[in-house]
Amino acid sequence: MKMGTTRITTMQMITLLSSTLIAVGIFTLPRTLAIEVGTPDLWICILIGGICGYLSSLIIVSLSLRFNRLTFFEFNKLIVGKWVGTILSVCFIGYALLIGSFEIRSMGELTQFYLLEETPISVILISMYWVAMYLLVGGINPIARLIELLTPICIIIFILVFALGFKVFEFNNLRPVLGLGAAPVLKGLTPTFLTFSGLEFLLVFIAMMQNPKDAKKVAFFGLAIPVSIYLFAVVVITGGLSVERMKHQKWPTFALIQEYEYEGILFERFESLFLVVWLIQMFTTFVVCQYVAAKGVSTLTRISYKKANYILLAAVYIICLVPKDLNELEKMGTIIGWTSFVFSFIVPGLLLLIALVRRLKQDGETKDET
Amino acid sequence: MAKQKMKRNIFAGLIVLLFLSGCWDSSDIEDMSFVIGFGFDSSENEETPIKHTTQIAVTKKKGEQAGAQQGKMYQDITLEGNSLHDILRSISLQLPYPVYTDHLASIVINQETAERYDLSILLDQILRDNVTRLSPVVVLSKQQASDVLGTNIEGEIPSSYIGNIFDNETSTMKMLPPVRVGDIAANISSHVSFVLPNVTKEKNTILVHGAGVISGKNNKLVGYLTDDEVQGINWVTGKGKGGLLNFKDEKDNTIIYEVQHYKTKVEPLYKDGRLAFRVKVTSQGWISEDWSQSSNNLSERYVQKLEHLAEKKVVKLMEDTMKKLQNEYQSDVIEFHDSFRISYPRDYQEMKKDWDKYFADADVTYDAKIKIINTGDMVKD
Repeated sequence: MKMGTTRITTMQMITLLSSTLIAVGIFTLPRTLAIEVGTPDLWICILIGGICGYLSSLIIVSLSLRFNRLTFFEFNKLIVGKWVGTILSVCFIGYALLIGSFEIRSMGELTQFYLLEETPISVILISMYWVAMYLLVGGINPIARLIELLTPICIIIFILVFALGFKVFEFNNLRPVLGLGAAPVLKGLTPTFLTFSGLEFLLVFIAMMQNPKDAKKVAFFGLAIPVSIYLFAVVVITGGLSVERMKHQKWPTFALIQEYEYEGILFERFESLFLVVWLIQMFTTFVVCQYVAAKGVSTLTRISYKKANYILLAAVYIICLVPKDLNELEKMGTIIGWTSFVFSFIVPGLLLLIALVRRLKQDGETKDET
Repeated sequence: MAKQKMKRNIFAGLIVLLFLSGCWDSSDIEDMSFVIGFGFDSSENEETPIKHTTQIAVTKKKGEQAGAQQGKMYQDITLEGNSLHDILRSISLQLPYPVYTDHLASIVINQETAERYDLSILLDQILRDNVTRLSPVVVLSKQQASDVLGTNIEGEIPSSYIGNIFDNETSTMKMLPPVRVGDIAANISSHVSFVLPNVTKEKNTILVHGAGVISGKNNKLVGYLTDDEVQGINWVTGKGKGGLLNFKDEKDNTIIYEVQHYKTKVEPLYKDGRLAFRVKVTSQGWISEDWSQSSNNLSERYVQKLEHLAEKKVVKLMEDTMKKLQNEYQSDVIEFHDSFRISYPRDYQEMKKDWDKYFADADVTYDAKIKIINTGDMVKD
């Protein structure tokens, strides 16, 4: 593989997808779920939510594979015509920007609350932007490589930090299973599905894979990793804090980590370790979103990818300062979740249907060789 | 060209150095006061109902003028006010180093204060705060919390002393498992009654002695438990880590059974509006002291007799405790609600609100199985 190639390997793609999916949800999902569900069956929601996510990613994959080597921004025109296609692309770019700014703002808020009380939030945000920018202008390859490098470490630390939570774990908090029937579980499906927003970026990235045939594998493992981390986290948090407590804690994940202390091993407290890894995950999610948006802009217009990045940066900064407080930020999260539902399920589903009916298919292999 | 580029790089590097000089939130460790204990008392003054003691670890030698404070490893600051955060900030009026609560080890609450104030109010600031952890232990105190924190123990800081006592829960059944701020938050948010260990100040020491019952209805202290009742609680919940059982044979000789390990199972039964619980205890252990002169501890019969006596004693401990909890305090502090919730999730949803009332009317039966596996390195005949 040459340096500077624009193709990414299967492994890189898996880590890219999984680290996009692990984001702010690890802080917010436990409480949202606990409030919606109210019984200890939270983990079932995540399992089912993961399966739903996989099904919708299959739609995305089969759609992308019909149009070899073309990204969402290019092939939607072939399916629904230039005008509708452009509108869809613009919406998709807007959505990517929205989710990117949401993640970066949440990151800023939590960093300010737990780590840097006195630092102005704009300083936290801007320093993050600059680092992201440095990575972004290099194109997809450095991004994929960096994520491939970081993700395994992050996963190990996540698992470690949650596994240590077994110190306060009480199995009774997870019982009974389905005590109030299946109704509460169904209520929890929406927030879970919304947490897996980011899946729709596959629409863009499959076109860049070295072996697009592996796309199904990517969808499976790329989802399985975050789903199992969320699952593990929710099981440990429910066991450690009880559902009742999760409802009353703004960030149950952090409460759990604060609850235990270990003496005699390298660290006694694990908040900082967890926050560092989590920051890395937020960073990668932001970078991926920003990449998708810039890629879209450069495909649609004549602006180069690099310039698009700089222009969008300003947009992201403005969007991310729109929510005035944490409640508004949370509302923004819900809006993003629903938009995500549209882009990862409804839009690809409709496009696939139209493509099937019109028998549209493009073999890009020949075009690709040139 | 290359030289110019080099110059530019060096210049850029120098400018970057400026930003490395420090971070926005830096604070030097010697300029901070590490709070390791909180004490809550109530004061008679209506304007300032809370008397709050902050115990700060002395981390540095403050020159020669330490004077009277010399040799002390901590400094207590007692202030009155109507809000905890307000009091903490008032400390800045008399202490140049900002207080930092990240290393809080224990919180002492005076019994009268706990009777008068809702715990969720007293602890509200601590639960909201972004720095304070959820791991400090919470205890009640018979004397004023400020006195307890001021106990003069050679070479020890009272608040970390209290925190460390609970490491001993493996060797005595008369001590409750430590209750941490996080546990209290959980109980308060689900309106569940619970017990808090109680400490007493003796002349030059602090000791754990009995416990207080906090009602889930109003989060206030409603009653006290003796050491024996604490034992009963540990037997019923199964949450103790081991300890001794002191019982007597028919001739009034003291016998000590050392619990190696034990397990409690609570089985709820709810039928026709009648609530019943069956508590099953199984335990294994050693005989570690036996005052009877004529006893053959190798004989099967004798060991069986001891087992039977020990079982009776355990049941009695549990019965006495339950009687008090059900009749006098009407508070389910032994988590019967948890086993009930698991077995009857739907019924629990309705009964949750008045659970303590249902609990008070429940029939409880006990069943103890004690196994003596070792009688020690001594044979009498």
